[in-house]
Amino acid sequence: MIKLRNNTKMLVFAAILTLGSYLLIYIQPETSLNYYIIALSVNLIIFFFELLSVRISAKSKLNQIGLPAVTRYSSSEEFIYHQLLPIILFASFNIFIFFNPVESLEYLILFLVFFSFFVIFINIRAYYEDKFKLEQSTHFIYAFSSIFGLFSILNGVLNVASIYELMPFILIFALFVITIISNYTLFIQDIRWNVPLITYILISSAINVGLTFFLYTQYSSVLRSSFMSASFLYLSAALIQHKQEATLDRYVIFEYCVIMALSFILLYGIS
Amino acid sequence: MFKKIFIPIKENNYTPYVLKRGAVTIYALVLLIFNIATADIAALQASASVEAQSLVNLHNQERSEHNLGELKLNSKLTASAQKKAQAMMDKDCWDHYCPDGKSPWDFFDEVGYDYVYAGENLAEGFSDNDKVFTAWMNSKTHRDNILRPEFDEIGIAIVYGEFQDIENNAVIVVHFGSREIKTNVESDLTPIDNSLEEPFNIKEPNDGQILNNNTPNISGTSPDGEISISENQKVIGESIAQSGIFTFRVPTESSLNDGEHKIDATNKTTGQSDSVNFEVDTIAPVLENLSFNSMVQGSDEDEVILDITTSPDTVSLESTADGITFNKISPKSWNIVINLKVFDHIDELNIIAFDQASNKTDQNFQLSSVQGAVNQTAEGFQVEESDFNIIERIGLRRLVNSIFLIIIITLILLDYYVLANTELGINLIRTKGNYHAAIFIILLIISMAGGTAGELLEAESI
Repeated sequence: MIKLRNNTKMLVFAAILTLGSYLLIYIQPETSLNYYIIALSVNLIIFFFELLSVRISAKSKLNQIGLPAVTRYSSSEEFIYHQLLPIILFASFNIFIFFNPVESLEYLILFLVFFSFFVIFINIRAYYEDKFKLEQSTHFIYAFSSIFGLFSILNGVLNVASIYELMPFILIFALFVITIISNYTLFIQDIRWNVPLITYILISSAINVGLTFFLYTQYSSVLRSSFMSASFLYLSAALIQHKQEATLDRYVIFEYCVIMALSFILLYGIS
Repeated sequence: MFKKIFIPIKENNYTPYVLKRGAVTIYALVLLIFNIATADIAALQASASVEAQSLVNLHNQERSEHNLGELKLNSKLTASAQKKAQAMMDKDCWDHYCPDGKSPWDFFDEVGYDYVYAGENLAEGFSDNDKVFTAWMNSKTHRDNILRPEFDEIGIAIVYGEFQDIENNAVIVVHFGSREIKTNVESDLTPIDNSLEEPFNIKEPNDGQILNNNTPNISGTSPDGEISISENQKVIGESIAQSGIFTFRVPTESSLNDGEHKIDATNKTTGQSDSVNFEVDTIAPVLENLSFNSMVQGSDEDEVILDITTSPDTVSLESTADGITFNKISPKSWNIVINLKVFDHIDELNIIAFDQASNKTDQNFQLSSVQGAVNQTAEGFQVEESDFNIIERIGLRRLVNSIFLIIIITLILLDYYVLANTELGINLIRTKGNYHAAIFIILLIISMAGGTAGELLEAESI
């Protein structure tokens, strides 16, 4: 159970990020792209310091009572979970709203920024304070960061491709890199890496890129192409994870098929 | 039982009934049937949506086929298009000069886009990128804008809402522009802001404008020198043009009477002159004779129709109260349409009238004079089944799907939260498909983004 009174600092940090996102949304129509990028960078720097502050203060607690620091994650896992993915998520929210400046969406995005980063700060603090259960129960935010990051960054890339008419091979390369990074960030902790698995991930990424590129070029629909890519990542990642945990059976496959069908029906329903 | 349905507990094997595979299958089937039932055949066509980026693509493809430079998306033009589209939606006005006669160029100025060439295309009621673009290409003026060699930047905005009595309608605004004078293109456009050589021109007031000020500003562009201002050949003042600009305010002692006027300005140095005709109207519109007309069944609620008489130059009526619309019936007569529920809760009706000169009358009317007639009619008013038309169905479909999304996200997060606080929770979560929420949250974002529009049958472009 997360107690708010014990996490005032996390609330304030999440609120500062939300305010930063609000200001970015506010200045976006009035400012040039260069100034917007500078403002986004300033927000990212503030965010980086918040992450650092949470980490240092949480680490010092174990230190004060003479316990050794937590080293459950390798240094690369630590970097990806506690720095890279949070920064990708923050950038993703702002990239998405930059390319889709819709007033009603802004409030939802601001809510999601607040909620997501509150959970991320709690997770980081729990890790360094060695609160295993709390850390694990808030770990889902990284899966969300990877999937939403892919959706939003693809959305941005496809928008840029539309504006600047990127050459197809550059676009395909960019899509492939983004998809591979998303897969990697999803699995870094959970998977026992081996050659068949890496092959599977490469093939699923290639299919994902092909599907996205086909939908984008055939239907010129940036949002739909991005969504299809995110949902394919969701499906392939979930199946890999179940396979690794030896929980993949026909019922699980059926469940994912139903969820995918439901999501496509909903996509049509909101169209 | 409630717990078994909504909460993951041991008795339901840590999966609430509402999230079991069977339940999700039923949701999918029910939503599928509902979505198909509320769709029109035309709606089943692929790509039934209007997206800004796709439209930019189509513009550039067309220009590329004509060997013209590509249009780059400009954030200021996007902002000006967004402001224009929102203003059209808010005021429910369908015109290049709206709201209230505001020119498209005012929107460019508001966002600080320093244009030399500018253009605007509008459309409403389309649900498909290709269809709206084809409609523009089939119209000479729109086609000309799309293929102007002078333009090198573009901004597109699409706003959804109730517009021109159609729910979930899409208003599409395209702003074209360039901030540089083009010397290497075959152009039939005159640069809007040519600072190299100022012609003699009265820019303010505009020819034919109606002003509500009898001491107006007269300003314009001219080669530098002394400017003489006269009204009906009688000199009323002098000004000096500096840096190509002159300005003059009609003094109080020479204030203009209500009616038509012709102002002449002459540059004494070069002998050039220009004149402008305009009208002064300082009298605010009159509002009188509020009376009951009838009751009708609106799209959602019953509506009361009232009549009111105005002076003939009244161009718009507004009210500070919500749920009230005004329709001009004749030069002196307007209908006021009030939602019955709103009518039942107000004793006084505020009406604000504007005339062509933007004179304003703000007046409150007691509704007691019409309340009796409304009550009498309401008693005998038979509610008729309205046509459940395609537009309403699509609005309903989007609403139902969006609400379902919010419910399913809430249920998944609740499930997750409860599991996380059980002893077995963490292991259970990891084997339960913990990515489901992400995909539904993304769908909710798409829904709110309006990146996909409702399918509409009526389509129009200007």
